[in-house]
Amino acid sequence: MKISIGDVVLPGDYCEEISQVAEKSKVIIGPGLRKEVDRVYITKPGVLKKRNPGTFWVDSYQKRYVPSRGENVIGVVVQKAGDIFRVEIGGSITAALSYLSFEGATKKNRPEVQVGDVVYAKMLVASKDMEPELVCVDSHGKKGRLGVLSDGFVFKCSLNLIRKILNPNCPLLETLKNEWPFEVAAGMNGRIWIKANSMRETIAVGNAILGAEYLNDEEIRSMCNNIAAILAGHVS
Amino acid sequence: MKEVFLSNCEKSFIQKIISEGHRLDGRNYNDSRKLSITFGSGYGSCIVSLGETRILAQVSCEVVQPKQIRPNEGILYINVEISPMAAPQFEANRQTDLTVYLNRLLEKCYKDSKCIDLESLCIVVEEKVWSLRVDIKVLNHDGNLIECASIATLASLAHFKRPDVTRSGENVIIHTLAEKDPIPTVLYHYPVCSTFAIFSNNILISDPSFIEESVCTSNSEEGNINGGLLVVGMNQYKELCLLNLSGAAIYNTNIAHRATLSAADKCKTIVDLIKKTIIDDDNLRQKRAKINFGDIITSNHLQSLSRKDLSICLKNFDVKEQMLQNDTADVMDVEISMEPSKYDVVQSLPQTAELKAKKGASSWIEISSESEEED
Repeated sequence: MKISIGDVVLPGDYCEEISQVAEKSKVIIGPGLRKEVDRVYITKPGVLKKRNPGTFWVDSYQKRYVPSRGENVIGVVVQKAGDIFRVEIGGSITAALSYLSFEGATKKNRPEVQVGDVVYAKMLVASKDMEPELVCVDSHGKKGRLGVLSDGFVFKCSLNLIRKILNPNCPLLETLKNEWPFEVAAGMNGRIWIKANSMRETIAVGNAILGAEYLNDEEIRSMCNNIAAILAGHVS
Repeated sequence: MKEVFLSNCEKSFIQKIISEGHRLDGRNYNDSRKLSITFGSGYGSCIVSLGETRILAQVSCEVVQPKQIRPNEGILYINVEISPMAAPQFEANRQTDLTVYLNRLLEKCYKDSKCIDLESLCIVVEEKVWSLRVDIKVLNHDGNLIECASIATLASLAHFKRPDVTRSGENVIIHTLAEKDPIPTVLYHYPVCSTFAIFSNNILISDPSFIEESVCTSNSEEGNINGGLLVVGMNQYKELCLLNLSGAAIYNTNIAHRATLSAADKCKTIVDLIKKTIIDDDNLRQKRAKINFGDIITSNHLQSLSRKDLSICLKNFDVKEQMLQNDTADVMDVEISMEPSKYDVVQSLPQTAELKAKKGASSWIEISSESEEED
């Protein structure tokens, strides 16, 4: 069966369309695709997607995180080992976070990070043969929004859900932000940190985010209104 | 086994909401997650799911020599396996403390409570007895493995039937299922374990999820003694068969009493459910209906997309109600824009199906093929 863009694909399938495009111009193949001799094979089950001019990838459902450079992730500090903190980010191994990579940190002025703290950090090194490395500052040495997240609650979800809520077109956070105040940090590794004024409101944010996974834009809006009504006590 | 790391904020959040009278998934303290029991094609195999926790149990039997001290009794053997499929922190083919703990608890609950008539498993005294082996495999770990495993063990044992035997002189003939109807296992009573997580030494939470379990046991490790897991095994006559406390010591005398009271009602409903599903299953089998795990896997697959229960949920949030509203809305949309499917699902080999292009139902395919021929 011939495979075209938008089809459901399975590992082992190959796509001739990519090879044809590649003859004329440069092609970028993303996750789930692999070049083997003269064909492009699919390595993940999912939906084949394309972005013009020549970027192809497979959109698959996944929970396991594979580190990639430049992504913002949420991790838990599991160990203090000399100069670095080991941070569990849900990948195959823990990531390293140097104590000098915090804003204003010097050898004498160490940041206050305890084992068990949740950090929001940027992936600096993500090579497949090396330990991933995180930083909590940008290139100007400013922390921006990165750093230790205190209080609140952290939960796990699928990587697809993270991409969905971070999509600028997604109405979820747009709708929720008008209902009640809260803070949220979404890590590309499938972790979300949320904090609101009360416990109930925090749970409500988590509920809305997890509930949005398989809903379309219209359903998400109605669900947000529903949750807001429950929170306000209109629905018993 | 790799350790599961809990962040401080998760711990404090869970403790806070529980002390405020809420739970993360919107349940009340005494509510259990949804329990479902499904039987496989053979006798004595079942999958039990308790919320997202899922366990497969399989009973098998063989003829062995009895133990010297008990020459007229059969043997019951329970084996628990936890693979990386259950949760990523487990290693394959490695005994962990958790497997040993589960194994011992189930043995206590089913062997030591003498719920099975082992003497009926005897064929020839001192020579041949039936040995029943229960294999428990954890398919998914989302807390409360003990309760789920005990329900799976009980359901599979109650469902299991061993082949009939006849003795003619020295010979023992084991009949196949086709020759003679198999014999069900005799159970005197039906013990079921239920788990309670103890928070701040006076709050009892039934059917704890994975995160609640870890928060409650991690408390006690840090010397901050106020949490623990209490396992209560009880049968349908409200007789206590097993009591196990892991984690901290309880100094509130009230707790064990409250737990047993709450477990009594719970065990009764669970045993009733097990009996009812076995009777239903028997009726289906007599009608020669096909029963296998294939059904639940496909139906659960669809349900998992609509996500009936969320791990974080408000108390009054009703996913189903909302889904229903959406469903009705969807149905109307679908009816307008629905076009006949191009494919038929056809049964080919047993337990498989294949997609075949419908003939005539869709004109689109034929036209396109004609146009190709013209080219």
